[in-house]
Amino acid sequence: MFRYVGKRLVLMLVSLWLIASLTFVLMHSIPGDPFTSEKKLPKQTLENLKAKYGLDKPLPVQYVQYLGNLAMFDLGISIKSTTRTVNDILEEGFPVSAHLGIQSILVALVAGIVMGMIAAARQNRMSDYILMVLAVIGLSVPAFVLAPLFQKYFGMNWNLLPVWGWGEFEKTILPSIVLAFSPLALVTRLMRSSMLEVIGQDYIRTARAKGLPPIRVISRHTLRNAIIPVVTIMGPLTASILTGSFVVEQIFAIPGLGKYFVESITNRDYPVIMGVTIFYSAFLILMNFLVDLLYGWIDPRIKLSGKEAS
Amino acid sequence: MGKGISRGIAFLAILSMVVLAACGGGNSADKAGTGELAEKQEITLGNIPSEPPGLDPLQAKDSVSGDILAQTMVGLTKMGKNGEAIPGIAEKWDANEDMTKITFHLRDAQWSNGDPVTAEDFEYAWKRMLDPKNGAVYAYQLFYLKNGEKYNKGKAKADDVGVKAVDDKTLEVELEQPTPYFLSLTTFYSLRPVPKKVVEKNKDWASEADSYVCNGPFKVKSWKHDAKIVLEKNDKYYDADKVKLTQINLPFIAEPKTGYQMFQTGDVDSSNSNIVPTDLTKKLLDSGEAKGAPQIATYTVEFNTKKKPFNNKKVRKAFSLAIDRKQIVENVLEGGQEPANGWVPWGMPDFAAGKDFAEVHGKYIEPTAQADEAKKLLEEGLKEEGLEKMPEMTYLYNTDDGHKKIAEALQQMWKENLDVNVKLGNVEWKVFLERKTAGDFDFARFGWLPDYIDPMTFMDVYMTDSGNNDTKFSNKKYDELIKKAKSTADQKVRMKALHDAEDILMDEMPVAPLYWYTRVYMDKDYVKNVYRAIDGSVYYEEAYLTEK
Repeated sequence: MFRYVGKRLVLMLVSLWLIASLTFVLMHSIPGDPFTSEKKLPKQTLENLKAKYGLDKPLPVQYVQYLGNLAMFDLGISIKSTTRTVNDILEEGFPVSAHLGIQSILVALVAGIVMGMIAAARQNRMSDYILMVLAVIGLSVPAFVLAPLFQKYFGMNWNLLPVWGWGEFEKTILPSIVLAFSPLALVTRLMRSSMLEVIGQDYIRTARAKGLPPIRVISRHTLRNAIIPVVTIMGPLTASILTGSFVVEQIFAIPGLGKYFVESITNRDYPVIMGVTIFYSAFLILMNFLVDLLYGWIDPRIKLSGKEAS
Repeated sequence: MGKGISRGIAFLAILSMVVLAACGGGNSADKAGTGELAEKQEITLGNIPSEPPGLDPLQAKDSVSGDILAQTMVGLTKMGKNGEAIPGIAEKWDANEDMTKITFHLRDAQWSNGDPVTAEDFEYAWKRMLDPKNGAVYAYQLFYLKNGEKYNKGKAKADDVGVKAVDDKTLEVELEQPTPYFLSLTTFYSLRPVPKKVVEKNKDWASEADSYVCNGPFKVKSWKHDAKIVLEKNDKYYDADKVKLTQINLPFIAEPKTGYQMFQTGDVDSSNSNIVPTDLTKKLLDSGEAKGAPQIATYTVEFNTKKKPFNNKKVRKAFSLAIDRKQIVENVLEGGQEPANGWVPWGMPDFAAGKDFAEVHGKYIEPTAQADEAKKLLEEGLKEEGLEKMPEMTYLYNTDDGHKKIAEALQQMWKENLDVNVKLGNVEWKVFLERKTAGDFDFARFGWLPDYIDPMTFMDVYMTDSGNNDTKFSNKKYDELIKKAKSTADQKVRMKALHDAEDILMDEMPVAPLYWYTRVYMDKDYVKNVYRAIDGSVYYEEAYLTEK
């Protein structure tokens, strides 16, 4: 077990280094730089600016410097907001995105598992069909359609909930639900299909045959086996939802991290691009690792050993 | 059992929403007020889309910072109704005849921390802006100062720069050449002062509310990064008696639809177009909920004059004549814009004639398409270039719905009126800029906003060595006229030269102006006296609210 964890940690660091290097190369290979603008700057001003941010040095030098700073957890200063460090941006934005994300994940997970189970238990009946139609809608209606609709009805027409901002719990309700929609649908569908598969297994028949009450069959035998696929997607899902959504945060005016994934690239804000990419990747890698550990706990058949690590 | 659970969840969800809604804020109907001053003078604006890059005049390089600095910092002068400079921190000033030496006399004014605003603060701020180490984007706005550009290039010392605090209240400025519009530049946020004592102690003074010190009608009360800035009345402001608003809330609203909803529910009282969804602009203008005013800016098509056959002026003119500008304005944009009849847009004053520069020069371009003349010119032009027919050219624009609609309308007009097939190409913003700079385009969209209030800010774009001249247009006579206008402070001579230059520009047509911009804004009925200056800056200094 410890050998396994150790090996995984080394692999995680290598992946991170690869991601950082690739991002660095790709980022510098797209046209434009942080200072390209419609009003062209005098040559000298441009040179002064580049010198200030160390962009005048050859790329390999910049690369080595960046990795050096990265090792010290110093992600540099945003070129657009010149007084904010990337660490500041992450420290201030991540808790907000994560708060929103955790609420959404909880909604998606709890409701998704329950709805998936219901659909499976009542296969090919009305409630199954309704739930599956809802799931298709949930997966196919994008947040930028759903969010304004929610704003219009819950905010404007019925005046039930605030439609923008951050700070109080009630402000988090609408965005959490919008953000939960697509993972909820995903979890429901996954849960339904794997439940159906498990229900047909011999050991379930055995459990039923020996007279266990249905609720015990489901909770002890079916659920535990059927939940594996859901756990699998939880890794990447958690990572992506907790690090913020550009669309949802923009529409509900939430000061999260989501916008930096998009805006940093539009602005060619190199330190921010690197910072958020590395942060997200690290988070994703970590989540996948946790999921792998979870497998072993949920399903003892899955063994973790140094050999199996991949 | 399953049903029970799902019903339970649904019920809980609805219940929690209802309960929470009870704690939510109420709505306020907005009827025409009674006209009486409201008791609570707190306003919320919708014009800030995202965290400003900085509230230090040195870092400010965009309209968002500009909008906030308009409330927190006052420069030597303020902008008057016609773009002229009126007293700000400088009570009065005197200049020599050719406007190369200006002496500003400062009034008694204080920073929000109680320190006096001195001439030294201005000298320090300007030299800091020019210091190459600081890499200020807007350093070029101070290149008019004697040795300003040289200092920024590292070829002169700070002491050589033409700005000097003679004493606490007197600032002497020396310019490289006669620059009548330098006064109008002193209203611009890059030229506003900074509190020297504060900045020297803490270089990050302008990034948090606690350390921010300013000299304007409002100061920063709180700043929650990426979420909201709150301003409050600055009692130390020299004209504080005039300020009626006690607080300005600036939530960052990135999505226009959200902003518009906030306006409807009364969460926002006043804003620029940041909260006007594009597809609603026409509706809101028609209903009077939004208002439009001329904005000094021109939207154009730029030709790459190095690309055959756009090197031929007849071909360029043909493409311009084939455009129905009226249709673009009325059916595509629908925002009250004006078909451009010249390069210098509406609202830009002619300082010799005392009216709009564009009114003086008359019409260079008809608002409707002149198909016959266009066809004839195209034929002649192609013949001169030894071409049988027009090669396929690509019209380049940066990815954006608005630009796309215009590009498609243009494509159709060129097809209809010239029988020419044009390809459309769209690329990401910075790629677009890089390609234009590199000359890697046939023709492309372009928009120009003024740096200061003088027609020069439009006219010197197309000088041969101008960094902004992507058309690579080069005309000796044109350059001479612009240089002539730059060499004197005599407005009559300057304006004459600029008009003559525009004659050449519109005859050669490296650039085909399409329309002049409008500025769309929204104010609730109870919001009064917001000052929207002609350069686009908005001041809430004397604004107030009446009873709803």
